[in-house]
Formats: sequence, C-alpha cells, structure tokens
Amino acid sequence: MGLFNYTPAEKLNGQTAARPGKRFGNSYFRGFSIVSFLLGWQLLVSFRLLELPSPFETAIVFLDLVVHGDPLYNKTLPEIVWSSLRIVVQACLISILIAVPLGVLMGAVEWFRHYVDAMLEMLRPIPPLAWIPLAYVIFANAGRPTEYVQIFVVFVGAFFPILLDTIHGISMVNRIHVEAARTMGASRKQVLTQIMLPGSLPSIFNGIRVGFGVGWMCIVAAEFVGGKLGIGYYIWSSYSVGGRVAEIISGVIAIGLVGTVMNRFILFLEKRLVPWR
Amino acid sequence: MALILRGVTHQFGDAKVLENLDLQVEEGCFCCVVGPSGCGKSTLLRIIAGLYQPIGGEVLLDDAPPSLEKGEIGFVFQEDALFPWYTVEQNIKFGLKARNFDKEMWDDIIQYNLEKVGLAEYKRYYPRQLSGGMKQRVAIARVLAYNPKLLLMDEPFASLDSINRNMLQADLIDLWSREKKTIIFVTHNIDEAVFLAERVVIMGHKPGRIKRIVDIDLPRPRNRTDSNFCRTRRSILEIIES
Repeated sequence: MGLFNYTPAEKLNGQTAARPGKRFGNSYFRGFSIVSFLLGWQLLVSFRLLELPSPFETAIVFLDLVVHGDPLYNKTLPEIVWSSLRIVVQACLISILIAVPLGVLMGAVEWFRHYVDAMLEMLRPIPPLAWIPLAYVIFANAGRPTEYVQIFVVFVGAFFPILLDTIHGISMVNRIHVEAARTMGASRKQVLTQIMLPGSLPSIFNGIRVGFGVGWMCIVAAEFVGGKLGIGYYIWSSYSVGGRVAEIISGVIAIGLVGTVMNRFILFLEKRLVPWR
Repeated sequence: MALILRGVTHQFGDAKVLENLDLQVEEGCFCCVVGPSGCGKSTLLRIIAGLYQPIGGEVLLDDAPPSLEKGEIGFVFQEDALFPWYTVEQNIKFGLKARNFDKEMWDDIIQYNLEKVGLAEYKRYYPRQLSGGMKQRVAIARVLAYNPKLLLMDEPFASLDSINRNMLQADLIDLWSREKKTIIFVTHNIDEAVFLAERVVIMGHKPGRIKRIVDIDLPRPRNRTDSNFCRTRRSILEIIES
C-alpha cells in the first residue's frame, strides 16, 4: 500500500545533547566540594576547635574496621551494617506487599478509600519510633522480640510513603488510557492490573525509594533503644564506652554510604522495570 | 439502521452540555460532527460509547443500548491513547484479550491490521519510539483488530501537522471504502469534515444541540481546491457562524 510509505520516527533513546564544557565544570565543582569539606574538618581539628580525630586518622580506623573488624564486637563493619540492612529489606518488602495493593484499591475504589483513609489519618501522624515501647509489649512473648520490634518500626516508617505515592500514582493515571481500555471491553480487573498498576508504577517506585530511606533512618534509631546488633547499636555503644570517636564517625559514614547505595540501586531497578519512561 | 439517538440530554453539575439531541446514523455511513469547542462533541461521543450515562434520552445501537462489555465500539482518541508500557503488538493484543478472541488468532489479526495501516514492521516498538502520525495509525489498527460495529473518532488527527493529517485522512477514506464501517468522526476542522464525510452534523453550543445536518455528495476522491469543495465548506461555515 503505497499510501502508507512512512519514515520511521527518530529513536528517542540516543538523544542526549552533548555539552562537554558544562559537564567538566560540574564534576570539577563536585570534587571541589568534597575537598573543601575535608579541609574544613581538618582545620577544626588542627585548631582544636573540636575534639575529633582528623579525616586521615578516621580513614585509617574506617578501613581497619572494614577489613579486620572491631575486636570489642568481634565483627567487621560490613557484617554490622548487614545485620541492620537485613531488617530494613525484610520490613520494606512487607511494606511494599501490603501498601501497594492497598494503595491501588484505595485509588480505584472510592468507598474503600474513605473507609481506610479515616483509619490511616489517625495513625499517620504518629512517628514510627513512638511505636517502639508498645511494640515491645506486643512482641514480648514472640521468639525474637527485638528483631520483630525493629521490623515493625521500619515497616511503619516505610509504609506511608509507599502507600501515599501509590494512591497518588493511581490518581494520576491518564484518564484516556482508562477510557480506551473500557471501550475495548476490558473488565474492571483488567483495567486495574493492566492499566492502573503500570500507569502508576513510576510513582510507586518513588514511594519505595522514599520508604527505604525512612526505613533506614528508623532502624538506626530503633537499634539505639534495644538489641545487640546492627549499626545503630554499634555507634551508640561506641559512644557509651567512651573515647571511640573515630569508630562512631566510621559508623556514621557507613550509614551514609549504605543509604546512598540503596537509593541508587532502587533508581537502577526503576530504569529496568519501567523502560517505557 | 445502525445508531439512533433520541432526546439525548446531559449536564455536568449545573451546566447543560447537550439538550434534546436526536440523530440517526445508517449503517456504513461516514458521519462528521463539527461545531465550536465546548459544544459537547466529545461528550456526545462518550455517551454513544457508553462511557457516560446521559441524564435524559436514549441511545440505541442496533436496537439495544451500547454496552462497553460487548466491544461493539472502537474509540480513537485525540490524545495519545496507546498504553506506553506495551509495545505496538501488545497494545493490539490488549483489545483482543479483553474481547476474548481465540489466542491462536492473535498473531494473524495483529499482522493483518498492522499491514492495513502500513506499520507491520513496527510490531515490537514502544509508542514513544513512534511519531504522532504513526501512533494514531496504531490506535486505529488497535480498534479495527476486534472488529467493532461502530467507529467513534474524537479529533484523532488534531495534533498532527497538516501534511500528515491529509495523508491520514486519505488513508482513512481508503479504509472506510473497503470495510464500510459506520464512522462518527468529531472535528472542529471544516476542511477535514468536508473531505471525509457523507454527512456533516453541525452543532451549536450553549447548550449543545444539532443546528443542521448537511449531506455531502461530492465525488471521491475529493479535491480540496475544487470549487464545489470550497462552496460546500463556505456554506457549512456560514451555518456554524449563524
């Protein structure tokens, strides 16, 4: 059919404008930022404005903790971090499994949204950490109360960002897509799972990313209060022992690194799972 | 007798959008609806499709109210209505699945309908990799695939450049003359209406109603610069502006 001879659209994938000069400038300032931070730290120490180990001393301790571990705890820094991370991953997965289906239903079924919303509006303003004492009471007779309490607190922290972004994502689904599906004879279930869910996936991923971030904050705080494991416990007990400032800073750096890597990893997953964006 | 509208009335809140609208469209007719924006053209299409329930009057498609479940209607939207998370092929499959077509026929139906719109090589492309005109072709193939009785088109070419639009108009006429589907085509472009339609329904607004129905018997293929074409266009414009 000659009428339909057509030139293909340019493939939009490879179209990033190259601006080499700008790019160099930005990475230059990024490097400068880190150097000036370390320099400031060093000056504070050199002039004895703060009783801290120097960046160099801290780096030595940090590397030693990573490779040989801390003799007081008989664990390396990655091992300590992992025991916290394990809790966060478990708790956040539970959050996703509950918050995403709940959010999709709330976004799609109006009476259900009102029903659940009234309940959640009461619970949402409560800081996740405020649940810790009550959680210890609830899980007192469970096998591993500390672990369950920590999972519960992280779960609460991650739950609301994921739920709210799922509801938001559903409400932002293109109305035309829903109408198109319905005129094609799609059932309610098909519209929900094949239109609403993928349509809101970018927003859901955003919620998951924020949820993991909040969860990571919650685990550190939860470990201050109880337990004998994890990075929060490590920096708090290092403080209690006294004089272990380099260890505390190393722990804090590890918390920051893991948080960043987690964020990047979820962004990477989103790119893979939402390729149409 | 394909489609009958009797006394269709609709309102959003307090604003009356359509008032007491009667219309009859025979099977196989290419009918264009023109009118100023805000006269309820899109609302009318959605009522015919069964997406909106009118507050008054009735719509009959072959003596029964249209139902979304039966897939009697192919709706082509103005905006990009392809599902961006599906490839071209999967987009068409969605309709076939919803209509419970036999799985073994899917591939043949997809191939056949993509060939119809000249995009058979683009099966595995995502919508974002296609141009605006190609997307609308896929949208047309997607509804043709499940063989609806009635094609409703809501300014499907409005966002295309004029060269692409003319091309798609010619192709649509080509398609219609072979398949003889009933088409209701909403547009605010009078040139487009005169080029495509056998019958032009001219709507007025506040509230939306039918002002006049004009039959167009210009021979096909129609020539946009032909003097009869221009005369028809002028007379429709005069009715709209009156």
